[in-house]
Amino acid sequence: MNFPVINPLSVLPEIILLATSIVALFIALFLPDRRGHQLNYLGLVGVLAAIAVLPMLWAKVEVGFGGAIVSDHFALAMDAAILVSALAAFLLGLREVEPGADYVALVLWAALGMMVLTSAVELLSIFLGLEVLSLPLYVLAGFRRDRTTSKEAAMKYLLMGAFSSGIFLYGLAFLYGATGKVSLASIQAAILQNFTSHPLFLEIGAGLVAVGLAFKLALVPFHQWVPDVYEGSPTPVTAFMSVGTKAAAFGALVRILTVALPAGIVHWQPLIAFLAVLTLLFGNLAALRQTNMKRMLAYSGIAQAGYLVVAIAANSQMGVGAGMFYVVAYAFMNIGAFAVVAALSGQNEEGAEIASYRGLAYRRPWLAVSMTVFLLALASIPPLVGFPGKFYILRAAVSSGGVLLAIAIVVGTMISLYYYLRPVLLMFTHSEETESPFPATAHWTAHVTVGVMLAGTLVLGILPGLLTGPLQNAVHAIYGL
Amino acid sequence: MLTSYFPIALYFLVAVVIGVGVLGASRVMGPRKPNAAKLQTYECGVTPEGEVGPRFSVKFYLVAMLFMIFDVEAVSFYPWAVLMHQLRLFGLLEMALFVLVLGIGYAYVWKRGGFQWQE
Repeated sequence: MNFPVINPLSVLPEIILLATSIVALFIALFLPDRRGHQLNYLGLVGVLAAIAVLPMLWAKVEVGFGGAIVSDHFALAMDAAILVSALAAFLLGLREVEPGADYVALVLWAALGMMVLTSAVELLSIFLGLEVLSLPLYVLAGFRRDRTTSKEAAMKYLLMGAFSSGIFLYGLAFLYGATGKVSLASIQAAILQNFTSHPLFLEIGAGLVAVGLAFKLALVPFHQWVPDVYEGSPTPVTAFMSVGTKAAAFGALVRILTVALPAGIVHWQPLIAFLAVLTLLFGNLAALRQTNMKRMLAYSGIAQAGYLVVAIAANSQMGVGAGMFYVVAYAFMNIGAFAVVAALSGQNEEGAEIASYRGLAYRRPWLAVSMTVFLLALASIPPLVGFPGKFYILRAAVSSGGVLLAIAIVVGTMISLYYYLRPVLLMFTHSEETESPFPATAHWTAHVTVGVMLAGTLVLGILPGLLTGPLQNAVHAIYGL
Repeated sequence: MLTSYFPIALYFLVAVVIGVGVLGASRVMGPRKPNAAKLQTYECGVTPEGEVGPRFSVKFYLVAMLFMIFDVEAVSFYPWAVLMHQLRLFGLLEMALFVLVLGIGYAYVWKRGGFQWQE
């Protein structure tokens, strides 16, 4: 009897995260409650160890679980973005939430699910990854049980997430029904050789899969849960899930749509392009009216997801590379912005109103300047990382004939300047108020997070070439070149 | 490919016809003389008390959830037990690891008071 080869190397970073979470739960048995927050350091160590093995695994493609999991350059690059966001969740979580073993384990499990999602090349493993990603995030969204907004966020996220999982699974069922295969490579082969039962099944399957992941990516019109969930969840969790989930869902979307379902035969491209345009116009317009910083960043996140999906709609190697670059860029600038919000808010998350940022540059110059950099990066002003990110996406869109997509990006970016620059203007306006609405000090880890993200935003903005080389490998990996 | 599902469709059809047929026939032909005792909820012969849909403690959900976890765990023992001899030492170690992980989870739930009914 033959058993599938498991090959633990293919899931080494995942194993490290899992082991850390179990050790954290075990230690929590003997740790008094008031020292529970120290487990965050254990989580940090676990994530850093997982990041440390990524370069080791870069040398060779590992295939595991009988071909269901592939640890190729694409998966590893996405894993890096996911792990960086998990790192931020622990660094910021030291003060924000009343952390304990639950928080540490849940963040680690969510990150694990995201990483499985980006490396899975078989329908059932993909779904497994999506569920492992989603379930801990539902709990994390409602982690502040004492706050109604947090509970509301958890409830909304759970209901919308359950629906989207169902839709996604239904799509996978159609893909299986059309080809009789579960592995993405066999599905692609079956489509190319015309061994499909009914072409319509493929179209429906692709559509449902795209919609299911569109919920996770927060694309319009599947975005309604995002502002409430981002506002209600604890800030470290918001930072983590806004970036990690997008990276994971982008990975799955690329693997399923651009690779397994050739766009010439299965017509998912117009749907994705339509969603992208709708998302980046609506997200940017809705962000204009926000008065709460986290809500504004939530709508900006919706718009950013729109830019990201343009890269998929381009349906080219250039597009996939541009999308990956944008995920990394988004990780640095968005987590940075949330880190400043977290550093400025106390236990009860007071002071998340944009109006309370008035005059910040004169009271907390370091945080105000950092926030300015992150907001300018999100508005894709050179020489910050958002600029090459958007440039690559524009180039990919234009070179694959998507001129309308490119115009939509430019229009969206112009709208976005208003709401990204308004807090900057406020921060540098003198205020008569002497009393600051913010707590006087932030935990040192919040400053570390801001510093790391600032470094990433600046370095990759000036030298984007550092990243484009490895990402080129990743693109080759995914297209099997 | 779809034709291979024809027997299942047929099975569905027969199931629906029999179900609807039997219930429909008894409804059309059976005599109906309702009284208070007959219309009562049947509760194993015990006289029912209270409302039909009373509120019950949310704690039941926690118990059900924990039960599900251990239930599913027990289910995954069966395929392992069947293949235990072919899987040899590797299978045994794998299962030991699985039980260890679950055991830590169990201890954690216990410590957090997951099995405590009273606050």
